[in-house]
Amino acid sequence: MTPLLAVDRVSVVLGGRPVVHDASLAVPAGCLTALVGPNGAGKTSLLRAIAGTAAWQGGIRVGGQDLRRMPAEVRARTVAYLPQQRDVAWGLAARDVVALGRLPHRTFAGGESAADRAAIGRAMAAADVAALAGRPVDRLSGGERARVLLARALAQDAALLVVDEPTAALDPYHQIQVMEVLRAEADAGRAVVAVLHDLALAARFAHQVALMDAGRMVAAGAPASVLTAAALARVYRIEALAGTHDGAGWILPWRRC
Amino acid sequence: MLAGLSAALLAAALASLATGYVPLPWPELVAGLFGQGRAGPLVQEIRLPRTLLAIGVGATLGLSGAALQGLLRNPLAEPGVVGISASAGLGSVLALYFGMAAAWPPALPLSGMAGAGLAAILVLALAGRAAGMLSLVLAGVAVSSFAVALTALALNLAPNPYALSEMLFWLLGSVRDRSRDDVLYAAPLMILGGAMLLAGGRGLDALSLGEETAASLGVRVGRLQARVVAGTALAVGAAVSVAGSIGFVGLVVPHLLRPLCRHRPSALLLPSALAGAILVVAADILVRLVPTAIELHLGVVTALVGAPFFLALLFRLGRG
Repeated sequence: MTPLLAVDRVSVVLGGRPVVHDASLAVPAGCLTALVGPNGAGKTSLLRAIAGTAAWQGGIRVGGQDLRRMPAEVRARTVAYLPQQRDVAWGLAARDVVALGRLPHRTFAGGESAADRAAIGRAMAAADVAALAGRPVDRLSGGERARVLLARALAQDAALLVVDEPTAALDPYHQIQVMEVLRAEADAGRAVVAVLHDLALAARFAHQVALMDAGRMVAAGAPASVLTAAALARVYRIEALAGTHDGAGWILPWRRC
Repeated sequence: MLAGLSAALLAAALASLATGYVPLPWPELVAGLFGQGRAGPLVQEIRLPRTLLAIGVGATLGLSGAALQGLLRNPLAEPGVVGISASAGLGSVLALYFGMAAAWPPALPLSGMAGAGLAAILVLALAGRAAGMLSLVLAGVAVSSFAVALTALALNLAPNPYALSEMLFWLLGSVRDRSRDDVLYAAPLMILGGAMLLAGGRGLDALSLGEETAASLGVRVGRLQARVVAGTALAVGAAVSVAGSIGFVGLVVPHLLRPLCRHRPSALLLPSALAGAILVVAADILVRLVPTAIELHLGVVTALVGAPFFLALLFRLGRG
């Protein structure tokens, strides 16, 4: 079976400097993949290439189709992307922000369809922001805004969801909540790729962990097989405590080494 | 809201038609509109072009201000920031300076439009195809300052006081004593440019989440940027070419209406056009009613009202 997302020897050059080197990754439908690695490893650049918003060399196929040959509108219905940048201009209401996720599905002159409204409602419920619908996003807390923007990406209803540090600046409750949402989206049949800095969340929630270092893909596979003590020491230069609880692995970064 | 603004614009337009140095009773005015009766030539040749131009200029400034604020995601953007207004003004000043306007009247608007078109091409080339909005603003500021400098040079080298005052008064902006020809030159470009701006609404909505998210939503950001700059060049270029520079309308109008449009850039476009038209028509009635020895220029009045508003806006932004 071909994976929903197939990244084949992709390189990204940023300002003349190669930031991603020959990285390969396969993500089947129904799989939540955590993309981890130290700062500057090239995670965000690879994510941008997958989202189609940065130039890349190599092959990226989504649903068997060449991403490069996809018209922008088709790509927007196939890949939903949540960047790290969370600024929203103007005081748009939360529901209006989420509704922007439906733009790729709208016809040229048409308004919101019943399917649009259903997808918006579903996304807002999943991200637990239904109660914020009428609130201007510039008055929301950082956590609330992050979840509204996640709902925006969910409303896009794409087969592939790529998110960049979705749990950054969230309190533990909302970190776990966001990871549960991503996991549920994967369990519902989407492919999800999430850049994560929190190894504990990656080990606990991801089906697959992809570890990057200095622009290269070092390893990809089940969390326990990738986040080994040796790999953490080599790539992150840390020692971590690890164990299992309720059948899921956990990792706690402990000291530099 | 659109119905209310349209009704207000209609009322303002009728009031503008009824305002003038020759008092006209309503029946004669209405007959004159259709070319009938004694007032026919007065209404058709003087008052109607003046009112139509005020509507067109105001609508153009309001609409392009709203579109540029959406594109640049900045409430302080207006047609001036991309260098269009200053360059159109320079084009017209050059037509006056070299006497082309005196020899052949259409040279004045055509030269202004050429200035606006050149500025748009230059700004887009400088900003680059895929580059972000910051480089667009920088390019606009650079082109704008150069146009202002060249305008100052033309004023400096003016051969006689009459030529100087002609250029200066022209720059102050007015729709007084414009002909039907001026309307005919400007209207098609205003409509075409306006349509280009209105068509960009959805892209502007997506841009409120940032350029990257907009691109991931299928918006071709470079193309949208080019369309908004080109639409502004056509519409505002035409407006400045026939009426001179009229400031602050493009800045103030979208800002006032934004909360009423739920802050959505696409929903702001059409109301800004209507309200811009109302504002300029009203200001043009005001300049005819204020009993000064010399009629005030329209651009002076809009700036007198607009600048304090701008200061208050900055003050509030600074505190908020």
